[in-house]
Amino acid sequence: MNVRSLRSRMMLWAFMLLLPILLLFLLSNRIAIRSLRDQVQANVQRVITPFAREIDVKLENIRRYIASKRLDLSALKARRANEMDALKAIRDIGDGFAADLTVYAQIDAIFLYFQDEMWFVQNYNRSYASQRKAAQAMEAYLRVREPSAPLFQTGFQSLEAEGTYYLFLAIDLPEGGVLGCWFNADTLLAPVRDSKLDGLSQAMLVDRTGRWMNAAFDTRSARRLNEALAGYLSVTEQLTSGAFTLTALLDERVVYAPLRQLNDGLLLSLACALVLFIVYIGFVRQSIIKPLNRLAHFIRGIKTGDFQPIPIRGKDAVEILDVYQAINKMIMEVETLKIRVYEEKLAQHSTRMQMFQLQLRPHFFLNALNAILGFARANEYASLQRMTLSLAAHCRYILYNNWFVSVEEELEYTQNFIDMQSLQHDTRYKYSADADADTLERELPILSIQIFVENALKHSRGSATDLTIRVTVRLLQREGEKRLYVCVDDSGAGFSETMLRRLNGAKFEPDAGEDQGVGVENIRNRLALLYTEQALITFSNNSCGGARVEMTLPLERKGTLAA
Amino acid sequence: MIKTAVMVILALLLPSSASGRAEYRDEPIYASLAVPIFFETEIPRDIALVNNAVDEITKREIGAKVQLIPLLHPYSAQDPLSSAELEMLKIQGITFDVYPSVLPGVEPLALDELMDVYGRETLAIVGDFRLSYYRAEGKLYRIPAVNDDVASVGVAMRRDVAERYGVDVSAIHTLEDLDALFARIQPNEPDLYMISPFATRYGILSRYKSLLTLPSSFMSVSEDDPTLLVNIYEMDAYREAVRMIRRWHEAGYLPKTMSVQNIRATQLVKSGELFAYFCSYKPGIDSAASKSCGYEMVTASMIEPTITRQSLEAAWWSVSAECANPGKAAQLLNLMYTNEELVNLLVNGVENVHYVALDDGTIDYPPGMDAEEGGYGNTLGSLLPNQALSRVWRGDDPNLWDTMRARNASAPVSETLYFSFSAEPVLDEFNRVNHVVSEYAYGLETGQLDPEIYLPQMLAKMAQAGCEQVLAEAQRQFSAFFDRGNEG
Repeated sequence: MNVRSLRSRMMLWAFMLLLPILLLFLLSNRIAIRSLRDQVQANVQRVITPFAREIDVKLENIRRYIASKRLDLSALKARRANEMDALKAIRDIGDGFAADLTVYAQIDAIFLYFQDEMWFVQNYNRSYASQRKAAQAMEAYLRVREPSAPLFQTGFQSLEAEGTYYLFLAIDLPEGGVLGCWFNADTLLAPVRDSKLDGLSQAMLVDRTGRWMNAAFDTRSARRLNEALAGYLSVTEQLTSGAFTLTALLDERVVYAPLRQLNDGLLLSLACALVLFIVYIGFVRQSIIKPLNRLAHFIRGIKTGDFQPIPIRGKDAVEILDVYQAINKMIMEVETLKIRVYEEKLAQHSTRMQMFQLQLRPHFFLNALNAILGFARANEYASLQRMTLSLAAHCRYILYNNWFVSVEEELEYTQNFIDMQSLQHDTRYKYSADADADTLERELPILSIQIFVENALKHSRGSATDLTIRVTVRLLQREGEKRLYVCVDDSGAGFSETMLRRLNGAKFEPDAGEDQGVGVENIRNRLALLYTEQALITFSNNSCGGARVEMTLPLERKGTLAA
Repeated sequence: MIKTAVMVILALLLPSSASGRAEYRDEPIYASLAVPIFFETEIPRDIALVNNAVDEITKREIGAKVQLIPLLHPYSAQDPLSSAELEMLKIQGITFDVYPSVLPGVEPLALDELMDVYGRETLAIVGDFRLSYYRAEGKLYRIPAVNDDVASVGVAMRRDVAERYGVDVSAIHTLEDLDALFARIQPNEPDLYMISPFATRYGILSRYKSLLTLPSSFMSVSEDDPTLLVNIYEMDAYREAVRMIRRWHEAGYLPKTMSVQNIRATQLVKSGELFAYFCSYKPGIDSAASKSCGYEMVTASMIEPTITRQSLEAAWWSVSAECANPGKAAQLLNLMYTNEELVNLLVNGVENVHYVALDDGTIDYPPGMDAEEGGYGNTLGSLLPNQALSRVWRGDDPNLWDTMRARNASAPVSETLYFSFSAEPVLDEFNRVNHVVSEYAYGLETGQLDPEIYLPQMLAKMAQAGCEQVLAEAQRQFSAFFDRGNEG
C-alpha cells in the first residue's frame, strides 16, 4: 500500500489518535490494579494477622505444656531389673499423655523417646497409620540429630512424613530421653481455612529453612515453586512463637474479580472501539476512498485516451455523484468534440477533393478543348479566340483563387462560365446579374454562385425555351447584423416537390451520379466549414415556376476554415 | 474381660418452645431423639450426610428427628464428647458397664408395654431364646442386638503373607500351631510383627479367657470335672501359654511399646506392621476384617463355638427411664430393628455415594473408591440393633445372615450360661484378687513380664488377697446351681 495514499494517511491518523487514548487507558488500569492489589493485600493481611496471633497462643500453650511436663523415668530405666514397675510406669505415662491430650485437642500425639525406643500416644480420632508414620519420621530425626543441639530452645520445627507436614516441639529430659509432641500443621491452619476468606486457596506454614509445609509446593526447585505459586496472591504473617511464617495463598481470579470486571469492561470497550474504528474505516473507504480511487482510475484512463464514462451508482454520496456527473459530462463533451473534429476533418478532406474535382473538372476542361479544336477546324477564329480567352479566364480564376472571392469576381467568373457554355452549346442564355454596389467588394466562397448557375444550365438543357438566369446580390439586415444575400433564379422547370424536401432537409446526400447533388453538397459543406451554422441556403420555386436558390451569408467568417 | 455392651440412648428432646418459633408454625414439629453410633477407629467424614438421610426416614416413618452421636468404641474418657452431646445423653441416657463414668446413675426403662404397642416385630426378630435370657424378674429392660450369639476365637491373618508361605489356614487351631507358623515367617519378614491381641492394651489370651471364665472373674470350670471351679491362672495350660508368649515377645513377634496406649490390631495391620491378630470367629469375619484392615484377611478358627453369657451380652439397646417421649423412642428402636433402609444407612452409608449396588444383590465401593477414601462405613455394624438387615458386600457369602442365624440356632450352649456368681459374700477378697490379676495378667499375656518370676509372684499375691475364700464361695454357689439343675 502506498504510504502517501489517502487510505494510509487516514489509518495513520486514526492510529495516532487511538494510540495515546489506549496508552492512557492501560496506564490508568495499571494504576487501578496496583492500588486494588495493595488494598486487597492489606485487607487479607488484616484478616490473617489475628489468625497468626491465635496460632501463636496455641503454640505458646503447647510450649508451656512441654516445658512443664514432668516424667518419672526411673522405673523405665531399670526395666531389665524390674519389668513389673517398668510396665506400670509405661502404662501410667501413657494414661498421663492420654489425659493431657484431652486438654490439648490440636496435638496429634505426645511422645517419649527413651533408650532408642519411641513411645507415643495419639489423640482422639486420629488415624494410627498416619501417626505411626509421623512417629517414625520423628524417631529418624531424633536418631541422627546432633546431641548437643538444644531441642527445646530451637522451638517448634517442621517434620514431614510422606507428604504430611507436622510441627513438633521436644525437650531433652534430665534423665535422658526426649519428651515432645507433634501435630499436623493443617489442624493449626483449620481456622484460617474455615474463615471463608474470599478466594482463599491454601493456607500453610513456611518454616525457618524456607520450606513450604505443603506437598503441593516443591521448595527444592525454585522454578517449580514459582510455577505452583502462579496465579496466587501470597500474604504472609510471621509467627512470633516459632520461626514460621503463616502464608495464605489467594486465588487471584477470585480476589481480583472486581478488577477483572474492570478489565473486562476495558477490553470490551476497546474491542468496541476497534470494531467501530474498522466500521468507520470501511465506511470511509466505501464512501470516499473508493469513489476517489475510481475517479483517479478514470482520470488516469483519460490520460491514456480511454474516455470511458464513470459508472454512476446511486449509493454514492451526493458530492461524489456531482463530481462524477460533471466529469462524465466533460468526458462526453470531449468525446463529441473529438468526433466532430474528426468528422470535420473527413468532411474537409472530401470537400477539398470535390473542390478539386469541381475546380479541375477535366471533363469540362476537355469539352472546352474540344470546342476550341472544333472552332479551329471550322476556322471560326473569333469563337476560337473567345473560347481560348474564356478558358484561360476559367483556369486563372480556379487556380489562383483560394477559398474566398469577391462578389464582383464571382459574378465575372459566372459570366465567363455562361459565355463558355454558350459557345460550346451554341445556345443563348439570358443571364443577368443584379448586385448592389456595396456588395461587390464583399467576399463569398468561390464558385458559390457558379454552382447554382451551372445546375440551372444542366437542368434546362434540351428544353424548348431559352433559359433565363438571374442572380441578385444584396446586403440585408438580419437579426441585428448585416448579411450578404444571394439569390439565383432561373426560368427552368424548378425543383420537384421531392427534391425540395430533400434539399431543404437537415442533411442532404446526393444520389449516385447526381451531379447537381454533388454541387449542392459541396457548397453546403463548404458553408458549414466556413460559417458554421451562420450560413443559410434555401431552395424553392419562384413565381414563374423556375428554381430559386437563396443563400444568406454572414459578413464575418467564423467557420473552422475561416482563416 | 470387659463386655462389649452397647448402651442405647434414645433421648427425646421435644422442641423447646412454640413461643420463639411462632413464624414457623406451619413447619411440622418432630420429636427429637438422640442415638449413639459407634465406630472402630475414626469418626467418618460424612456422618452429617448420613444423619440427614436418617432424618428423612425417621421423619417420614415415625415423625421424629434423630441426632446421631458418633463415638469411638470402646468409649474411653479420652473421647471429647461435647458438653451439648453429653447433656443430651446425661439427661435421658442409660449407662451400663463401660459407660458409668460418662453417664452415671441413669436407669433403663421397662420396655414390655411399649414393645407390645410399637415393637412386636422387633420381639419376633430377636426371638424368645435371647429375650428370655435378657428378661430380668419378668421385665424386659434391654433388647439384645441381632448378632452372632456364638462366642469363639479366631486369628485373622494377612492373606498375601499367608499365601507367600503356603499357610494352610484351616489347619491352625492352637497356640502351638501359631508358634510354628511364626517361626517360619518371622525370619523372612523382619519388619512385620507376627501377632497381637485385638487391641494393644489387651493380653493375647483375653478372648480365650472371656470364653473360659465366669464373667469378670478369674475362675473357670475345670477341664476334668464340670462341677468344679478352678483358678484359671493356676492351670498348667495357662502357664504354658504365657511361657510361649514370653518367647514370642523375646523373639520380637509382638508389637513393642504398645502398652502405652490402646490401638486396635486392625490399625496395626493397616499401617503395615502386623501380620495377624486375635478376633472373634464368625460368619463374614474375613471380609469384615479385610474392610477394617485395608488388607485381604483370612481367619483361622481357634476354638469350638459356644453360646456363652458374654457372647449373648455382646450388644443390647434400651430406652432411658427419663426419656420425655418413650413412645417415639420405642418406635425408633423398632425401626432400627426392622427398617432395612435405615439399617443400611447406618452400616453402609448412602447408596451411590458410599456404596453401589451390584447386579448379584451385593454391594461394593463406588468406582475409584475404597474403604480408606469412602466418606462413610461402619465396621462395627454388629453393635447396631439388627445388622442382619444390612446388605452384603461383594466377596461375602450372599447368604451371610442366614448362615449366622443357622449358626446361632445350632451352636452348643455353655453349661454355665445361666450361672451368675454373686461376689457379695466375699466382695473385699474378690476385688483384691481382681486387682492383682489386673496388675499382672496384661504383662504376662503380652510377654512383657517373665512368667518364671511374675507368675508365681502373681499367684502368691492372689492367695494373699483371699483367692481361696472367693473360690470356695463360688464353688458353693456353683454346686447349688448344679443341684437346681442348670436353670439360673
